[in-house]
Amino acid sequence: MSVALADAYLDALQEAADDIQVDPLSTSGQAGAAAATKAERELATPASIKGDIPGGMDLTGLSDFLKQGYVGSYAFFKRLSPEQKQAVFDAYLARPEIAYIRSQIKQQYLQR
Amino acid sequence: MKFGMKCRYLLLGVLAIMSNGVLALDVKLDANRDYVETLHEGRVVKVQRIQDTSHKVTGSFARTSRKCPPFCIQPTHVDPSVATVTEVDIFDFLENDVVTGTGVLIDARLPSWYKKGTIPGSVNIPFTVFEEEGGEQALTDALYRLGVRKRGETGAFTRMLESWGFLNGDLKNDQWDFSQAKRLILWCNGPWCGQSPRAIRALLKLGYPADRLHYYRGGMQLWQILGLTTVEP
Repeated sequence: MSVALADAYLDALQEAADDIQVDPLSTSGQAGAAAATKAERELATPASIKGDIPGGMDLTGLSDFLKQGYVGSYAFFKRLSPEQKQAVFDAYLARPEIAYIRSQIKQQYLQR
Repeated sequence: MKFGMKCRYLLLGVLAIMSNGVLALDVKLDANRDYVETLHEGRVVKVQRIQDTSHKVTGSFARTSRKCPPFCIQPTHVDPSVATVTEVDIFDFLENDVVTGTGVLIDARLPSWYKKGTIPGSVNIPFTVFEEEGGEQALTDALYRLGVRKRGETGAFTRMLESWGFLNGDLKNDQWDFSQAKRLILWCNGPWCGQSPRAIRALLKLGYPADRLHYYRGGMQLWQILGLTTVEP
């Protein structure tokens, strides 16, 4: 591409960018406010107290469970320190609900 | 209004909210996932879809037509050796490669576009950086971020030994060592955008391994149509 053509292309891109606006409802925070996830909604209702995660697992079992079914959460979980993993496991013992466990993992990850 | 009537309206209201909650809030990402979480500039961002099933795209990506050239519809593949990927691949990539640092999601648009909103987990490396000739500092820095190392003075003798297999010359050329190059997905504004295709072609020209490059053709256009989360850097 010649320099002149390249410059024209960049000018066109710059010009178009001035008017660009993404859908405000898609912006992180906005979408979240407008749309709690199913898991979060369930947490807010008594119907959420259900066995969506097997009981009686040890820490290794919990880790394997996350690895198999919740790859994203597992990616965060495996980077936690042993103490933080234990804290997540304690949370699991206290409240065996996957949405809660995932939020605990995220919380621990942010505190690293 | 009688008390009984008030109760009836209240009950109807509650039922309406409940049914709305059940029907309107169940827009999942795919058959298995409500959302994925990834890292964006050091914070965890949840990527999900807009839950309002009556919502229509607003903003610039509602526009159907732009002048071509320069905004021409791109072919499916940038290069026969580079895979084109979909949103579902992006979800997997965000959950795994981006979080663990083995991959980089690249918003290859100019910064002026990036600043208006981007896909969570993306880093902005404009296509123009990859088109730098001769390894300018911006290019070196960008490639370093992608796991590519600039080679020192590589003598003809070393290159000869590498080509004969006495030294490991895989994924190395005179200028760059791609042996630790990360998996990349590059994207821009969508099927009508040429910025990420240009970035991919430039990376191939530099010697980046084609099997570690991926093209998300849908880009911001499809991301918006599907009501997926964006972030403002």
